[in-house]
Amino acid sequence: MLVIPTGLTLFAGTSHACTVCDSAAGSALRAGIFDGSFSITFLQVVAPFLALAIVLYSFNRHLPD
Amino acid sequence: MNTPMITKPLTRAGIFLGVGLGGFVDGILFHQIFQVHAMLTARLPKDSIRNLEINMFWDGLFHTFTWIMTVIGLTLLFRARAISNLVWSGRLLIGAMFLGWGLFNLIEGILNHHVFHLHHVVEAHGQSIFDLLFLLSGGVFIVGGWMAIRSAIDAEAKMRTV
Repeated sequence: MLVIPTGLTLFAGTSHACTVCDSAAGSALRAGIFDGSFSITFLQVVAPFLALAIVLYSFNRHLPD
Repeated sequence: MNTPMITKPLTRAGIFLGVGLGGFVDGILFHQIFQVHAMLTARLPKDSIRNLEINMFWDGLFHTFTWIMTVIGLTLLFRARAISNLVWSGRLLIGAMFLGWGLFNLIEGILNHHVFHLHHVVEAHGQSIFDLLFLLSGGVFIVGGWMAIRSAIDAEAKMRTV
């Protein structure tokens, strides 16, 4: 059942539904996202959730039963 | 002998739900409906399609994590249903959700608006009174949520002593 969609996904060329994928705009977009600061930006975007996880973990002990 | 009633699992679920849903309020209301900021607008102003698309990518990552928080909250809530001596209090759940929402506003506000300068609440004004109001809303939600939790627990204790 899953063979056809899996095969299409794995072996198909660039999807024609993606109008910008092969264009200069698409390249510029990918370059803008996956630039040299990607890792730092990723950590900064995720940081509040990591901080929240730490706060909630330590907060857990102080919650009333 | 009476089994002691517990509230912690419901509080924990509510806090995670509050963090997740509070994040969605930020993302849906400010990023998408009012469009007063997006994830990286302090660095990449929304003045070109390219910058809009890059901001959309990072908004998507932000929403992924708010979704994960919501799913954790729902999972905790689902697991809590099996605890026979759990206090099922709507006031407690809503209070815990406000507590989580407040924590989200406070921590996201401090880190993204003031430490990393990824964006500001109303980007057109840069760092402004709106950033402080966002932090203030976090503080108010935390205090209000905590008071609602305490009040629900006290009401339950009072009911059981009568």
